[in-house]
Amino acid sequence: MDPLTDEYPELSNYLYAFNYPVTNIDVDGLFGGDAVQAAIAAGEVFKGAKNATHFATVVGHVTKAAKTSTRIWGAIKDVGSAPEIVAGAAGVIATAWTGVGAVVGGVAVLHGADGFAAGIRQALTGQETKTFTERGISDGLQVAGVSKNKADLAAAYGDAAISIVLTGGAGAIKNIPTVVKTANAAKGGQTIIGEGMKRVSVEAAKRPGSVILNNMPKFTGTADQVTSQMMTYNRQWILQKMRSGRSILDIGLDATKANPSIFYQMEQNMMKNY
Amino acid sequence: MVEDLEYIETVKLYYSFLETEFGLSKVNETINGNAFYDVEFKDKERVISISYENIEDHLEVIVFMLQNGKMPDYDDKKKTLHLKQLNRLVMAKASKEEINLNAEYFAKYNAKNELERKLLKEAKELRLCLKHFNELF
Repeated sequence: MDPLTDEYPELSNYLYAFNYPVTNIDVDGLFGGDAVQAAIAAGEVFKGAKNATHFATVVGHVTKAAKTSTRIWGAIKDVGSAPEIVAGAAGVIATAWTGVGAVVGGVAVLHGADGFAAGIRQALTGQETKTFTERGISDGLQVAGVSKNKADLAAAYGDAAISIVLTGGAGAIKNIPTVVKTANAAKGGQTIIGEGMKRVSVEAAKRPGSVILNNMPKFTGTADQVTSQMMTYNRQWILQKMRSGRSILDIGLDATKANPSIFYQMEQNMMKNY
Repeated sequence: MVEDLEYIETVKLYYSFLETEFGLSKVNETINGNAFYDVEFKDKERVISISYENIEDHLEVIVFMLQNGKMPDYDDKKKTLHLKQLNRLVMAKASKEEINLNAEYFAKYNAKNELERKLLKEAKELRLCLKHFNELF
């Protein structure tokens, strides 16, 4: 039974996100809200935070407003979690699943997402919402005999400390230039991608058994048609390699190239989902 | 769009000085659909690659300094020498007369399109760079 039925008798129990699932979001089934507006609001606060002076003003306004609404604190949780997710993702992408960087980056993404989701739930429902991390710390302390209030307070500080460590850690680790996905390496040689066909072929020559996109068909048509066909072929090729489970080595950008490669950009986008 | 054979033939023509003057041999011709073409020349110490990415319209002339007969890392700036970088070093050393004489050598070629003009320009630069190569490295 929906616990908010009495408060909103005009709304059906079976309604999701006010029947506008494209623009609205309802994280826990209690209350739908405008996801786009929430994102814009978070973005505005985040933009403001780039400027230190403006940041102080923003914090002042937000703190005043927050005294009257727990929803604002939910938005703040999101703003605080977003950099953690970004830093974590950067750590994962830069280190591409190879080791410590990937683990810390992955944990940062998960922890940031936990905070972000809790922020959205709180912003939409107006109910104080703990992250799963906070809940875990608080429950653990209470089991150890600490009072609920003290355990909650310690959990909030502990969660914040984890965010700071993970954001900084993932950010620092993103500079390690290792970009290999090593999972399932036993399934065959590496597939190598990167910017610059010559550069990729030089790398492949050093790695026996490695595979690169070196068997493109000869496409016909106008320049735009050929580009489009090549892009489709390249996309299908990388998709096939991803599905095969082979490890993929991404050697990254070519620092000597003035213009970015549209094909490598597409490959990078595909790899984000790998 | 440039056709593969047209590219290969033009490179063989404009860069024939690599074989006739500097003793390199043509070792590889790579054609990857109509996306990428590459012609490689080699001697004991170097591989010279003249490659072109068709869609990106990206021509790259590179001198790879071999390490124990093997190709160096592409990103090794001391062993993978891009012509642009070599040319900057050589232009500081070459006299005007030398530059003019070099240009005269290529006067026999008539570039028909933009890519051929680029190939010709880089062939001129490469020849001058190779003449000064031992002074640089």
